Amino acid sequence: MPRFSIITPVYNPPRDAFELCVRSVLEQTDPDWEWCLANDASPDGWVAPRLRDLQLADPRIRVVDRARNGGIVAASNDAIALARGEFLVLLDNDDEIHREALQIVAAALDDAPDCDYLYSDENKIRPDGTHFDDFAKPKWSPERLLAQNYTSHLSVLRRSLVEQVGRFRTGFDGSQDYDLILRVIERARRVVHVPKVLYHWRTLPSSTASAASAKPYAFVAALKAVTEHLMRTNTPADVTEAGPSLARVRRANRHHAAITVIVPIDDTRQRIWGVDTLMARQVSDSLLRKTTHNNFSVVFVASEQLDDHDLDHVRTRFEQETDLVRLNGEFSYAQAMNAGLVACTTSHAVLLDQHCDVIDSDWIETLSGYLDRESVAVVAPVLVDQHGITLSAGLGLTPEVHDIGCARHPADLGPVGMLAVARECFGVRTRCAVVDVAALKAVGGFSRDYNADLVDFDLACKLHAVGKHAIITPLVKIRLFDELCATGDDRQMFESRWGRYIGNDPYTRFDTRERELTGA
Amino acid sequence: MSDDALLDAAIQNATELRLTTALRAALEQKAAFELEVLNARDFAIGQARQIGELRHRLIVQAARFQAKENDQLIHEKNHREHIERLEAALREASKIANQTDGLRRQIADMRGSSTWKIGRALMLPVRLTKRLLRRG
Repeated sequence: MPRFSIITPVYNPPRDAFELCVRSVLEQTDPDWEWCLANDASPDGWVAPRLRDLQLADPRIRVVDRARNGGIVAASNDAIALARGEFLVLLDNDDEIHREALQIVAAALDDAPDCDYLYSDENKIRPDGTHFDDFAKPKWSPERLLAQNYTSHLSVLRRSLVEQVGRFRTGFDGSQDYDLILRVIERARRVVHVPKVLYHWRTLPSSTASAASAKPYAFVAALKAVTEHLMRTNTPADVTEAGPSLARVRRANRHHAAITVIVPIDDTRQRIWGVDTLMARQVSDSLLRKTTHNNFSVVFVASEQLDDHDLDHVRTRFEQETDLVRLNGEFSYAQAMNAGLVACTTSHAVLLDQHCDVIDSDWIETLSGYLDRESVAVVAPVLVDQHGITLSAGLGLTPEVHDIGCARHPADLGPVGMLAVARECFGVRTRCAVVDVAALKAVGGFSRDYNADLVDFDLACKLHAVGKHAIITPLVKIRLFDELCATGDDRQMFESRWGRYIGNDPYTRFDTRERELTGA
Repeated sequence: MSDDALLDAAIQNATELRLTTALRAALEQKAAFELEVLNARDFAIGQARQIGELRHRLIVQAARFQAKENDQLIHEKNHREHIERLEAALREASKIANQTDGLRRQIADMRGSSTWKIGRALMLPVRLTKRLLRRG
C-alpha cells in the first residue's frame, strides 16, 4: 500500500501545463505514492491516449475513464475510489507540486502520527513559468478558515476520514475541496501546517488562481459550505460576503450571558471633537448609550486622583450594578486591569480603556460570540483613530513587534484579505477586549514591568506559551482617542523574556508594515 | 418594648455592624491577596521566561560556538595537511639542492683538471677562427 494517493481529476488541461504537472509527480524524491487520475470524458483527443501511456509506463499510475462528463466532483470521487493510500493528496491537472513535497509531508506526518489533515504554503506560476505570490500561511487558524479557504493547496487528508465524511459532495462545484476540508476538520484529531511552499498554482485565464471573479459560482458554493459547516457544529451564524472570496461570519449570541465590564478611570482630560472632556465620563457615556447588550455589570477601577464628585457623576448614571475599586498610589494600566480582574465576578470580562469610544452597538455580543472555543482567551475589535484609520488589527511579531494593519484605511482588505476577516493572531490590544478571566489569571494577568503599550505583547506571549489563542475581528470597530506604540524603554525587558518569539510569529509570518507586499 | 428588648436590638445592630465591617475588611484583604497572587504569578512567569530565554540563548550560542569550533578544527586540519605538504616539498627541494651542489662540485673539479685545461688550450685556435669568421 502506498502512503500517498495523489488525486487528480482531468478535464481538457492545456497540454504543456499537464506535462509539467506529470513531471512534478514523477520527479518526487519520495517514491511512496500512487497517482489516481480520472479522465472526465475530456473532448480533447490527446488526453485519453496520454493517460493510457502514463498508466503503461508506471505501475503507480492508475487511470479511470469516465464514459460521460460528470463535473469535477464526480471525477474526483472516481479518482478517490481508485485510491489505496493512507493519505489523499489533492492536485489539479494544470498545477505542480514541489519535487520534495511528499518527502517533506511524510516527515511532518511522522512527527504528528495523529494528524488527519495537513496543509502547506503555496505560490502561483505565471504563463512564462516564473513563480510569484508566495502565500506564507498562518498556523492552524480555524476562525480564518471560516472566512476564506486559506489552507487550499497543498491539502493532504487522511483517506479513512474522507471516506467517513462521504468524499466530495455534489452542489459545491468550484469549492468542493473547501467543503471537504470543512467536513474533515470537524472530525480531525489534529491539523498540521507545513510552512514551506510545496504547491505551485498555475494562473490560467480560466483558473481561480488568476482572479477570484473567474469562477463566481465557486464563491456561492463556498458560502454554502461554511453555512452548512456552522449548522453541523451547532454554531448559529449569518454568513455573508465580506469581499472578493471572503466570507463574513456573524455568530448569533444565544446566551446573553452576564459579563463584567472593567473600566480603569482617572482624571485624564482631553479635547474630544473640540470639547474638553473628562475621559472617564466619555467612556461611561459611550458604554451606556451605544451598547445593546444589557446583562452586564461594571467595575470601575479609579485612581485616587479622580475626585468623588466626578466619580459619583460617572457611577450614578448606570442602572446596572456597579462596583468600585480605589487604587491608591501607583495607577498603571496593568495594575488597574489586574485589580479589575480580581473584582470581576463573571467568567468573562470586557476590558475597556477610558480612551475607547464604542462604534458598533452589538459589540459585546459579537466579541463574546468568539469565546465559544475553550482555547480562545482574548477577543478584540479593530482599533481605529478619530479619522477611522486603523490603529491595530492585532499584534504581530515578525519581523519586529508591531500593530498589524496600522495606518491602513479600514476599507483596505490587507494581504490575502486578512484585515477583512476574523482570525486567530498572536495577540491583540486589550484597550478593548473580551477576555476569559480564568485564563488571564492563570498567567498572572498584566505584567507591571511594562508600560501600557508593550504590556499587551507580554500578555500575548504568556497566553501563547500556554496554548491560548487571541482572535481579532473586523466586525467590531472601536474608536481610540489615544496613540499606540510598540517601542519604549522596556523593550529590553521584553526581549529578555520573549526574544525568541520576535521574528517567529506563527500567525503573521511577514511584515504587515510594508505597503508593497510580495508575500501574503 | 422593654429595656431588655431594646438592649438586645442595640447589641444585635452593633454586632451586625461589626460583622459587616469585618466582612468588608476581609473582602478587601482577599482582593489585595488575590492581586498579590496575580503579581507574584506574573513575576514567577517572567523570571522563568528570562531563565528560559537565557538558556535558549546559551544553547543557540553554544551551537554557534560548536559550529565555529568545528570550522576551526577543519581549518586547522587543512592547515596541518598544507604544512605537511610544504615540508615534504621543502625536503624534496633540499634533496634536489644537494644533488645540484654535488653536480656543481663535479663540474668545478672537472674544470680544474689538467685534461680539461689541455683540451681547452688545444681548441683555442679553432675558437678564435670561429670568432673571426662570425665578425667577417
